[in-house]
Amino acid sequence: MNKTILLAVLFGSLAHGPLAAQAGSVSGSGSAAAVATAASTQQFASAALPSAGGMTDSELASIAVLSTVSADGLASITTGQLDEALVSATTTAQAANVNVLNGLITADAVLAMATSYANGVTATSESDGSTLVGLVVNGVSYADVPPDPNTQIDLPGVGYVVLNEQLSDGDGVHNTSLTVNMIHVYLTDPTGAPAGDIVIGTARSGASL
Amino acid sequence: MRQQPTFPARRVLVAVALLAVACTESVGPPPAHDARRTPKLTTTAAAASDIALDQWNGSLNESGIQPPCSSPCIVKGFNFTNPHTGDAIIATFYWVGPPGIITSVTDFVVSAPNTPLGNTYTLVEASSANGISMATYVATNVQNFPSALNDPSGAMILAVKANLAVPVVDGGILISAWTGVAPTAAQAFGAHRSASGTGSGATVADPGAIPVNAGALAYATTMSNGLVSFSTPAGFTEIATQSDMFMKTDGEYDAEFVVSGTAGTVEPQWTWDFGLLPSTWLASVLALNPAPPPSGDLTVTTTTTGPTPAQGYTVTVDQTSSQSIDANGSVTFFGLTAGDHSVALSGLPVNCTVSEANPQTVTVPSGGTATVSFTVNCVSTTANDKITGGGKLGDGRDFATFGFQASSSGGKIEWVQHCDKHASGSATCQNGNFTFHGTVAPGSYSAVPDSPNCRTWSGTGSAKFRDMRYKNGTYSFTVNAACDNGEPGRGNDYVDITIDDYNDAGFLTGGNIQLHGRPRDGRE
Repeated sequence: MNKTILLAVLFGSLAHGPLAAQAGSVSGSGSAAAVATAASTQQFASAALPSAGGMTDSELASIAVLSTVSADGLASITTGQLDEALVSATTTAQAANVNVLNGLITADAVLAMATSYANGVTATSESDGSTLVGLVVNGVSYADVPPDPNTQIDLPGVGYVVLNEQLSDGDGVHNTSLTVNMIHVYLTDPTGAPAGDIVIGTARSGASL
Repeated sequence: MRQQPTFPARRVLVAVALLAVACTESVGPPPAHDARRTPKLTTTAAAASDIALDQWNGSLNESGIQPPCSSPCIVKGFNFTNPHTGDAIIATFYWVGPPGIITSVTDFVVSAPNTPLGNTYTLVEASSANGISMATYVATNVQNFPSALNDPSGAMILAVKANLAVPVVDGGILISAWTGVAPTAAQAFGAHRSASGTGSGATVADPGAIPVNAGALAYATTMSNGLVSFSTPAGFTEIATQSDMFMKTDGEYDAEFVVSGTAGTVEPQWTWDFGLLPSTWLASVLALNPAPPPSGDLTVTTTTTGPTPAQGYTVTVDQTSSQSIDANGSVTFFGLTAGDHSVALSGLPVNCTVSEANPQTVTVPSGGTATVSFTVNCVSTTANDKITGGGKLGDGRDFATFGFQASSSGGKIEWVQHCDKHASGSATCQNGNFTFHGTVAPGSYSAVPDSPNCRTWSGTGSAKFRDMRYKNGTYSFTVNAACDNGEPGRGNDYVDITIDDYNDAGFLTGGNIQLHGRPRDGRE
């Protein structure tokens, strides 16, 4: 699989593929943390919603990927239900005491939330509830409020980070989906070519009716 | 208070025909033929149920074998008015002679022949020194005689007799009857003690201090072979002072605690003016406890309509005494103080309500049984649907995320509490960060009464605490309410969960709760 395709599948840009317009469906997935490099791909505390809906969860007390990322209290929960009049899905993915790239990025708490609704008339998604607590990027502290969607900050010599990255899809009538990556580090090589991804808090939800 | 000697010349003889105790000095309440002072017959401000002096009488100068006795005795009747049945009688016997010669104390009605009454007189205190002795007996709840009868003939008068093993040179008695005393000896007898001494000049006779319960009476008596004056104990009221050629006696009572709501101590002290020649004194004090307040029983009955809670309810009287009661059953509370009581029914499931006021006030009659009924109406909470939800409660640095699915057949829940690592001190963060995985107990899922959009369920699960790992373990949980109030769930849907001592509740700050089958505004 092409490297770019791989990362897209992992972190949402091709998460749902073509959304069914009429047949109801629900989807959701989450990952508290993920690391993709040329050498390996790892996801931590990841959960995926069954196509019939319900609830799935996963948790890890802590992780440590040498010189890349460490975190505590990793958990993902995804829930969803198909009803005749409503399809909805919510995914949360969170981690605490996050340390990325030896302190280049730290956060006390990271929570990604994505919720999607479809009732046959409208289909909407939202990221309400997502938060970054105690965020510090390259020595700069940020307030405990979610950054504007898709806030990009350069990381000289490393690449760049997108905070509160939101990737949405759907027609807004019958189908909708949203992927929220609260901290998405895009690693580049000295030539500027993609070299990997680090994502803390990925929540994805989708609904169609 | 200074008491002058009572000399033999002032004695008034009581007719032999009345009590057949001739040649004795008598003192007693009938004032028409007796110039001696009469004590107060009731205590100040004493209520009807308080201890009060009913009747009393006394005599000295008893010796040998005298009618109606066929053997040595000391005897006296309550001429001319009987006590009330149910009274307690205190009988103190005084004599010149050795201790321990009273073989029994009995009572009878002075008819011909005497009619034994069979009441039990118990020795409470005795004291002896230097050839003088005294002993105090008490009978409670005396019966079998004409109550409160005034009988100038003396034929139906209650008399008390001490049967002696040997005759005495001189003997005497003071009998007093008291209303309001507890009916059994075990209840009635309080603390008691005696002492004796010998002295000359002003000499204090002190039996020592005793504790006295609230509502109790203190009775005290002294005797001496010194026929001198004395001062009576402070705070005490005199019943009778008697004197003959060989001894002088005094009986007193202290009713201060009868009308008091608190307990205390008493220590009666007489000061005998013995003069130059040494004389001997004896002194005793005892307490009599009041009759318990009148009581009755209370029967509580429950009737339940609708689905009957298997565990029943709890009935509590006066917020202190509780009993379990079946959903359709009755329980009785015995021995409640007569009067008004509060009766509350608790432990009702959320789908049940009481038709009547709760609590109710009921009056328990003395010696009777009051009844209280509660009608409990329970509505069905059966829910055949299911509910799914996920989201977030709270904001800032203290928040919880959750997900659940629940139905009557079971389900599961995940609850993650995040707290500020610097300890926010919020109620939800008392246990710090933790993750809880719960399993829904089948059958616990039900509707919340009067809240059609809400469901409740319970179960058990395991909790892992990040900051307090020693608390890791299995805990019960209850989702008190999970409510689907429409979309978006944020700001509309509601969840209330209790996990052991942890509780969090509120409207969602993110996410959604979906109750399957609930009507929507979209495509139907």
